[in-house]
Amino acid sequence: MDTALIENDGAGWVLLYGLNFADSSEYLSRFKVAHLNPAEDDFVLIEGENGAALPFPPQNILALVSATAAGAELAAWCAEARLEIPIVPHTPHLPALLAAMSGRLCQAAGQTSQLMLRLAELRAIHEETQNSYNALRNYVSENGFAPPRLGFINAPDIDGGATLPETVTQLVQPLPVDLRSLCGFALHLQAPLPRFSEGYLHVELRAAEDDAVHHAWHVHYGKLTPGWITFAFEQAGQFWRKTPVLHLRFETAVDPAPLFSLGAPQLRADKVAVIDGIAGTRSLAFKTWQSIPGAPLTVSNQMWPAIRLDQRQISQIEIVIDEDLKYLNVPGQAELVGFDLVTLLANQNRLQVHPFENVVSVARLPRAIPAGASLLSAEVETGHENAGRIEYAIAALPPEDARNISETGDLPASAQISDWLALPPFTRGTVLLRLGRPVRATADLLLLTRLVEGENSVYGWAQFVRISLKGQFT
Amino acid sequence: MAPDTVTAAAPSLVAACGAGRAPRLAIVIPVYKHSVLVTEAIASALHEARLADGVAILVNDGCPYPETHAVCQAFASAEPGLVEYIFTRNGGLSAARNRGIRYALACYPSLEAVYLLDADNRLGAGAMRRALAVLDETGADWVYPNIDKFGLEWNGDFSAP
Repeated sequence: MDTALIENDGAGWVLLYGLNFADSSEYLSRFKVAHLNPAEDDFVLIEGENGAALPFPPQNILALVSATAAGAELAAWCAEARLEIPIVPHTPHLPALLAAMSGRLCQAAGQTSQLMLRLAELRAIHEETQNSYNALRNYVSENGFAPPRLGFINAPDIDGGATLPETVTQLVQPLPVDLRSLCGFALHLQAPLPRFSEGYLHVELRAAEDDAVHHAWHVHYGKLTPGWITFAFEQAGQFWRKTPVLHLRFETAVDPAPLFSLGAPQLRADKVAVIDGIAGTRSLAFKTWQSIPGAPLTVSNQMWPAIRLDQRQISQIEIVIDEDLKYLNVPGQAELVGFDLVTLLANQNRLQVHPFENVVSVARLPRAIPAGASLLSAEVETGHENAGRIEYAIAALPPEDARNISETGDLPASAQISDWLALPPFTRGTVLLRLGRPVRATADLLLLTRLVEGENSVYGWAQFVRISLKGQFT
Repeated sequence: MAPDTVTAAAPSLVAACGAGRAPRLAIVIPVYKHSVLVTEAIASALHEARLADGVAILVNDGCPYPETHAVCQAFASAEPGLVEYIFTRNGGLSAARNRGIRYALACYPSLEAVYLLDADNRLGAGAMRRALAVLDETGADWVYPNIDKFGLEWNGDFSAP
């Protein structure tokens, strides 16, 4: 039997011997001993005659000393365990030599492990620092100690009367700031829009480097008031440096488009606005605000919050029911039933569409559905306890077909209508209309009510509480 | 693991490991691609090994990173008798644990308990001493700890819009 010695000098490194020693006492004083046996094509470590087998070596072996033919097999056995150690012949002074090597290596290993512990400590400190920074940043942002500050202003050239043309459809304006800390901007509207003007302003903030859309807004022309109009983010910037570029698209149904102000003539060509594909001589008038990159922000009522974008650019628009809501009755319907069926309850932010016997009551919101809408929803509720059960529905209709709605509320074939939802009083429900395909052009939104068969119209306070649209608007 | 299960295994052997110690507890740490965090796992296990008469068994589960080997090698050499280090071909977490347990049983017939620690975890100070005390006092076969999460905290949605 070939035997081997596994020797441990007590300091961590092991000497593995692969030969028969007549006298191993010179090692035994310093090393513990085990034997190595060839087992078929493998080796096992055993102790004594009855020791347990261990088919793999530990990693802290310093050297293999072999004077037998088994040296190559031992080397393969070690290699199997990725044990890269020298295989050397036995010499009289080898123990002292290996002991010296062992001592030095142990010393080096001790220093290395101490450095690794120090590195681990630094890693933990770094982790804590990051956590503390995040906590501090959130606290400061949420509590207003570091409110957004004005970063840049390109003042409107009001004396020069510089505005966009009324027929503008698209505009591209680079912003001279870093997207990293940008947290909001404002555009200047020089004059109020006429009441008959109709359309949507679509604003996108993109990065010049990759054209990725970082934020988007959709604003109905009816909501645009003269002066600075602020567009805000829920979170400041990004953690990498990019160049922000504003893309404005005017979906104008009835002229004119909003008269956004331009600044003074620009000397730098890369700063001017590109209007409908043509570079002008002026920049859009704008302000920008900056904050701590990544900081969450509070969007006030005076700002336009960015819509949420997912990978497909699906976004949601809410139609605000207030005194500015544009709605129409169906011509002749009021005369037919003897009173106006549609009433705006502005103080409650509700639109009431009173049902009546043998008719479908209709409120028409002209051009309320922008191109790209694919899902419409309305929360509804009957606001009087003595009302009967009332059915609710919503519909989308091309504006040119609005005149084909009959006095009794029959809709033209081009209308896409939801299912009817029957509700008792004071029960909130949601009516959904999933359009077969997104509308290609701006459409009218119809809010419909009717009585459940057998009910009467007394106290028919059928009210639309909340209206929202989802779609791919950009 | 039940203490009687552990002690049933190995007769005395292999002087290559152990440096003459007769520990009660083996903390088996399989390592695969955690060459950074494993230092903290080893440091905590080392501390517990000193406190609770234990030994840490590092099992390199065929990790392709040379740093993993370097870290384990350094600790095994710097702390003889307290840290053991073996290598195995990648076989997964369970296989690596089993190999570590097998090695521990072969090397240390004195073992009464085995604790399995992941390379990206660390032990609280005194945890092993308390665990052994529970085993001693109650006669239970096994005991498990509570955990605390550490690391970077989640601070909201940082994904691109």
